[in-house]
Amino acid sequence: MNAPATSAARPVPVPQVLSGLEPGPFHDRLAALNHQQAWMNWMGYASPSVLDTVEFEYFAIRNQSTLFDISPMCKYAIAGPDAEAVVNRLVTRDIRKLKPGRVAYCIWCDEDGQVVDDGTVFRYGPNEFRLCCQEPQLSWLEDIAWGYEVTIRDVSREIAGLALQGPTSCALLRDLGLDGIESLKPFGIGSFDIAGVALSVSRTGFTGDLGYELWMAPEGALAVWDALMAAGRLRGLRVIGYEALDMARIEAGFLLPKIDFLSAQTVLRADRAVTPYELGLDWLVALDKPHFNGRRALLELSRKPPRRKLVAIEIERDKPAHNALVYHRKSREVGMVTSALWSPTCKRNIAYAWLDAPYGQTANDHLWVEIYLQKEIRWQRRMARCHPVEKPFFTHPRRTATPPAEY
Amino acid sequence: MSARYDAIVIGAGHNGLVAAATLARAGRKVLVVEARDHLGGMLGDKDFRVAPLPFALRPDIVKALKLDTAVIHGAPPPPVLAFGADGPPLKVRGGAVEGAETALAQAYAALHARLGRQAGALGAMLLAPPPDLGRLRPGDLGGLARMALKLRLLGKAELRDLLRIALSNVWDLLEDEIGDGPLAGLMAMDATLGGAMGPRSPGTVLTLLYRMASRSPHGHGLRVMPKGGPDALVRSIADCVKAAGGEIRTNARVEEILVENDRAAGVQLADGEQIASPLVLSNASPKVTLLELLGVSHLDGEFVRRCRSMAARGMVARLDFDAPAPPALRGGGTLASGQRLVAAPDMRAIETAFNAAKYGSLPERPVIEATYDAATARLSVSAQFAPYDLKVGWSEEAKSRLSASVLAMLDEVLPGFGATTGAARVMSPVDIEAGYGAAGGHWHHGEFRIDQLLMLRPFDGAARYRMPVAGLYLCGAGAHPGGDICGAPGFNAARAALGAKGE
Amino acid sequence: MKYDAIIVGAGHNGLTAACFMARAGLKTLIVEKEDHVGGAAVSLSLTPGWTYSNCSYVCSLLRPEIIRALELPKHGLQVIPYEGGAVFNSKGDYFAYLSDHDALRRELIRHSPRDADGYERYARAVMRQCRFIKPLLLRTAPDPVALKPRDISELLFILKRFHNLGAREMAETVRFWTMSIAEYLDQFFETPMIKAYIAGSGIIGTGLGPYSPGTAYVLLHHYMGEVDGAIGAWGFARGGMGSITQAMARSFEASGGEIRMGSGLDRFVVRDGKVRGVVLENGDEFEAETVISGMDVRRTFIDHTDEKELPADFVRGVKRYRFRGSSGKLNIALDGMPSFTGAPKDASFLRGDLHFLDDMEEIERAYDDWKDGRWSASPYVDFLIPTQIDPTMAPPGKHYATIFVQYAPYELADGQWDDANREAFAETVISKIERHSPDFRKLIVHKEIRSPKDIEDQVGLTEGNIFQGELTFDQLLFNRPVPGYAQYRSPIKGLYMCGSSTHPGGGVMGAPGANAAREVLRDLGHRIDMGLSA
Repeated sequence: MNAPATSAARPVPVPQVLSGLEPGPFHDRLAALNHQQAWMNWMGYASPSVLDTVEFEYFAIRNQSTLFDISPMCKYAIAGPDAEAVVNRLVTRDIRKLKPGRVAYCIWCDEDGQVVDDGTVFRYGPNEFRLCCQEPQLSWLEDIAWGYEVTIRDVSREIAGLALQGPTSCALLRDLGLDGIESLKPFGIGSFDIAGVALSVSRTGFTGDLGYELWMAPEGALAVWDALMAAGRLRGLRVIGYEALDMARIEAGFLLPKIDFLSAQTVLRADRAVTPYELGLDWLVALDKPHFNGRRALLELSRKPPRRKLVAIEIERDKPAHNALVYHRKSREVGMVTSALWSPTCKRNIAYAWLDAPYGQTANDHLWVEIYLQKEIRWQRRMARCHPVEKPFFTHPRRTATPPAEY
Repeated sequence: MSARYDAIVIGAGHNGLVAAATLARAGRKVLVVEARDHLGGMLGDKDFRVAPLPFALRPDIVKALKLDTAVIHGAPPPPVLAFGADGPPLKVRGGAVEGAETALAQAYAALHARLGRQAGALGAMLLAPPPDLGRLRPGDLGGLARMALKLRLLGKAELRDLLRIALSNVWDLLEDEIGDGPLAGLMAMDATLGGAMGPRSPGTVLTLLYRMASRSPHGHGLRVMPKGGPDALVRSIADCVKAAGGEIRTNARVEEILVENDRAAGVQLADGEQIASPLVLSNASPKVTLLELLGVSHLDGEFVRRCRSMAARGMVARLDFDAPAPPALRGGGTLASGQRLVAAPDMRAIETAFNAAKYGSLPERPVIEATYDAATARLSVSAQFAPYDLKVGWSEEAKSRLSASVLAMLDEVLPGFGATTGAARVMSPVDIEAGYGAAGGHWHHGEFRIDQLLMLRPFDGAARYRMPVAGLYLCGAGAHPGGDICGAPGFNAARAALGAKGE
Repeated sequence: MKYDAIIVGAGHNGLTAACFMARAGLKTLIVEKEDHVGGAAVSLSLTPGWTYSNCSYVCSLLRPEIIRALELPKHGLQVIPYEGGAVFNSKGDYFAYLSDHDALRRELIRHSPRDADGYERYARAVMRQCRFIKPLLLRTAPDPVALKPRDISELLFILKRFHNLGAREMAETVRFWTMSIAEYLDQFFETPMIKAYIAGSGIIGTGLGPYSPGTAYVLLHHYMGEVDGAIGAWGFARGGMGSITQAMARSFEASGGEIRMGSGLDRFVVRDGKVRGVVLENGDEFEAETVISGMDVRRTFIDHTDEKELPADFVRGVKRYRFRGSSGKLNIALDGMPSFTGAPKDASFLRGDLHFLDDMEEIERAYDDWKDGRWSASPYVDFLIPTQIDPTMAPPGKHYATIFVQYAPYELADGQWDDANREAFAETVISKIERHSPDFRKLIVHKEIRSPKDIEDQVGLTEGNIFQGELTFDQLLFNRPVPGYAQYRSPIKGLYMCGSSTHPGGGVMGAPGANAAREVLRDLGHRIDMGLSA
């Protein structure tokens, strides 16, 4: 029997923090700026939820540019002669079409066609990929790669990441001497350096706006940070926390694992897992490519309407519908809201909601959300009319323009 | 591609042949491709039989294939010789014991009969295709209802007893019913031989019941030598295949199962020849079939993981000693040709032998089963426990150590035998794996336990003979109900393939 | 004197059953041979200044429904969760099972990133099984042979729950219930020490090794514990395990119940196939038409019931019932906190369960010794120092160590459990601990050594089996203790069983007691809500 071709995952030095959150590569800088002292737990790292004021941090995303530490993402290097075959076996998209120097948003499914996780696949070369995602996937990747000539390494701790997002982000990088950054297309990857630190820059992000993600070795992380902050003075750069980012990502139509859906690997109740069709991600499933994980189940699933669907909805008036239940004709419970926001830019009351079939698919009328409002410790229940709409809520030509406009 | 067939069977072991015969008799054009130069797999090698002492082919299969019962089930087998620590052996014919105290003989007879009844009731489940977990079909319900009825017919007391012992260990059962000794050793040997469990391991009552469920006109739970030896059994099934228009090719090693549009399309042989067929049945073990012949690229990661982690750790080594004359027995007389001898003086000896194997070592005192063949002047021994994953590796030195310890055991029950014979030829589980497509060198292509039975055999998602690639079926011992010479996996797989849509 | 109900034995199950009787308004008496309540859940002072949980030592399985229904917190029970645990190996390294999830993840990555990933899968797999099994604990096991209407409805309840798991999880469940813990853990982990740490919970109290099929589910038995609703958390009862049974006794007395201590049972009085009462060793006689025995099945029926009153098949079943104690215990008073080589000072995990193991093979070899009638040369120990958390059990600065030791046979192949052998047994354990804690020996102020024989003699657990009988398939569910008599009733009308010999078995869980009470009250025509709904 052939042995697994994946390399043993070597233990990497791990700081002996016996309890509590671990400081990430940018922690010293973040701590100095975190006036609210508001931290949250992201994969065991201390990640700022808000540094100063959520609203201003949010508007900086849409108006200037912003920095957000994305180092806690799980990152896996997949390399070797069979790397393309393995990644293509993993994800539902046809990765053979992804050229080196490009990034693709992907999902991957289990054998029952239920979504395991979503993430971005970076192709650095014909036989070299990196997967970036939210949940640990090492054993999943090793299962997929068993029998193939490929090496899989958890490089989460070897790569620090920063999201630089906002209309002035390109100009800021150009100020720092990143020649040719303006010609980087959306989902493109380029190699640059800042303050003598080698960087991989991808034109990707979670805001639906112009923006970049910068990947570097943790040793150079602070030097890059300082250079960005210095150059950022002229470009309105602001460091932001998760809450502002969450507002932007809802507007941009991005889903968040653990909030909008659960990984099939993590659910305790079998019916909580979801399919790509239920998430409205049909466009990510290439049933016409050779066998990939879950293909046979997905083929079956693609033939019938999903039993429920995650849809974008717009709600009347202005109170966000956090955790609200959705009713048909104000009486029959047909779903629930996962993410909700009063969009400051669109001036619309928006949300994502799970709706049981046929609602959100063929029956879109007479839907109501039940919103609870607290007015001076009195709770009020309010029924607000809602209707499914197309994603995204917010889009702007600058997101895709190449070269990007000056601002 | 070359000639077209309705079905190709990979491997001419007895299950492959039974599957081929069943398909051919249903009018399918069948080709059997066998890597070796002989038919019958572990049963059929004249030079070195892995399974020299077959259990009986299932009577209903014999009937369905219209095989000659007189050949298949031969003559009533001679009594089994069960050796204790000293004295002459007990002579055991089914439930009848000669040479034991009356009370013990009675207790043994009662237990043997009771297990036979309980095995018979379970047999309906053990031998039929397994139900589908979570998606019960009306047909499955019928089978379950039949079994429930059979179980009820045991009567309340015996049913309660069965529900108590079914998942238990043979140690406790035998300690309660007949006490430790050579008879318990004999039964515990039947419960453990071929598997990676000692008598104290829960689950060994089930393996015993499985063997007790084997039936022939001579009784249940017996090793039955076909008239004319194992070759006659192999020959008569092969003849059945040919008579129904099937073809059999030897020295034709399959290198790959071909797939087109997610369907089995045929096989490719080692010499590059491709043979097309919409149905492919594999008698090789699940791991070999799926991971090597089919290839993981056609399978989901979780499925591959379950396949990889299927327990299949062979524990029996086979040794052949030259025996110029019938060996003399301790206590007088000689070992008859085709007679079975068991040297497992008590359950504790088996458990102790198992201890070493748990840690990847050879036991100092293996427990053995042996049979003598006058025609080839050979004493064939199955020695356990000889782990597949022997820590020091299956070197020549390890083999000769095993050979010496087996010979020492033999000398105790066949006094003077050592002086008349030379070094044994030894076939380790590693050799069995290499020679017969049985992962881990496991007799049953996979451990026979509750978590690898019925709808979990060989593993979840691969039960009911059909594999995820349409048109590919498992027909070997790795499929339900499992190993020994009974033919049920081959028979059931062929019927599943015949019943499949589009066939 | 005449009572509505008499309970024999003031162990936690007897007390639980008794509490429910008294709360139903029945005039209830408990008779107890010792001069204190508690059975195997006791706090005793054997040396001045120290309190030992000298038999059972951690609290996890006690059903929260029972704690609530019997108002135990009001009667003084406090369960305090303890923090993590650790295993030390012979190479000077350790694996700390930290209670902080992120810290645990980092600790797992330190040993193997693969295991960190595997742990997440493992934890969810076990959690799914816990969710499936938990509601079944406080229900009577259906009889699949008698199939009375209630058995059928209970069977359907279980089948429905099983079916709701979905096809994949159903298969997983069958595997979980039948696999060996070693094979089960091999699916998730590669680091030997990590597997050994977890495997320990699969074998505690059993007569099986980690390689034996059917040990994976025992894991569940030890994972089902909950403190404040968190599945898997273990705790100390403040003041020792006796505080559980003392709270129960107070709850019982508050409901009007009566406890008589100091004289054990001589026999059950049976006439015309019906129980009429009990006679104590001191000659006292009490009448009742309902008698519930908290003793194990062998003591109840072989030692204290006239065999003539019992059907032969039942007697055979009882005699066949297996105990086979496999563990011993050391209780040690310490002059100070011992140090552990390699462990950071004041590490939080020292406040949890500590073990000294290299791999699962070490446990399996320990089991091989037991099979041959010897205590393990290198035993599995479950070592805790509760006084780091509980300030009530030792003087300030001093400590109490509870050391559970496996395997130790009830009968030694060579010799008896005499003082010399007990000392030698303790020496085996202490010298093993000393290899990881060099100052441990010199801190010992007092020690109590308990072999399985001592546990039998002193606690009344036959053959020293801590679960009142092995938890193997043939002695579980509808087979526990005897097929056909698994619903707490016995062949004698009015005589019931409520000890750990009955479903769902051992551990300081209280479920057998509560289930038995439900059956008794049902037979007596009381249709009351016991307050046990989850």
